[in-house]
Amino acid sequence: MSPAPPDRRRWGGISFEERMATVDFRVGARAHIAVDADVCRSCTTKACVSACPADLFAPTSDGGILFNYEECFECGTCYMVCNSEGAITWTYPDGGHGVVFHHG
Amino acid sequence: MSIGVVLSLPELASSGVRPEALIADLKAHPAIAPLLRGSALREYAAHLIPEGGYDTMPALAADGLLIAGDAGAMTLAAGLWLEGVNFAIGSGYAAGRAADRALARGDCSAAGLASYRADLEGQFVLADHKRLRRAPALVLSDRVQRRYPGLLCDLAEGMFTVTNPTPKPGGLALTRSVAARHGVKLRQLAGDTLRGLRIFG
Repeated sequence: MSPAPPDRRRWGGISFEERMATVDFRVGARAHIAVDADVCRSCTTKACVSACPADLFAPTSDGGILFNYEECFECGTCYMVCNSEGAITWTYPDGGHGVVFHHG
Repeated sequence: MSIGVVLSLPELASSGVRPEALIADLKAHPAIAPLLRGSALREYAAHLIPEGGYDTMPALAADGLLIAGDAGAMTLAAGLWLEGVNFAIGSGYAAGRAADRALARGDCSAAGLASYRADLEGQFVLADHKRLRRAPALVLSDRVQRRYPGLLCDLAEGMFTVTNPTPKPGGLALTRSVAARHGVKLRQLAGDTLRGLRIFG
């Protein structure tokens, strides 16, 4: 029997879901980041998918990008690595919402 | 204990490596792993560090607004200078005093808050950034980050390796061959050395 393929999302004995469960988010009603799937379809790198520390960007079967704003660190990595003008619209969440760091 | 990796975003993007994989690799390193034995993850986090220095700072005051600390790019990534908390404290203190003066005068416009910038220019917060404004481009360059460490190690190895009966190459010949092996031209090496001396000397 061949060994099981390594789980891309499991590192150091902890799954990605367990890792994200350590973070506190006060989720706002408004999506503070918007992705224009039409622009993303022409993107060849899709750097946001691998670079986002919260793994919030998923490629869709039609070549677009699906984005989930709830568990966002607001670090701006997606916006900084994006090479397509207008693909990502980035704002901070509304006041009182967003990530809450308890240990810095 | 807090453990993390500081990296360049363009290189993270082009490598395709996941951030949590890099942290896991660091934590598994033989020099680090014993320090973490028996530990558990309390919180996972990610932050952006604006390391562009003085020339990339935004306007530090606007109508009703003062910008302090890393929001104002007051982080210094310049070799021996790896600072930020000191600038956050210094600028926060100066912002508090500027706000106090503006409120007392009843003028919180950008013009009314302009003394904040002048205050920072006159003390270490902006003086240090201004003095080292050319440092980030050199220190964070591809040659300094990726080529020179290996080049220096190979140069030292070449200097101390006995090659009898083949005669040992002279210093210049050795430097030239080691530099070529690392894709560096002697002209670049001399230029970067001069830049370094001008910035840090």
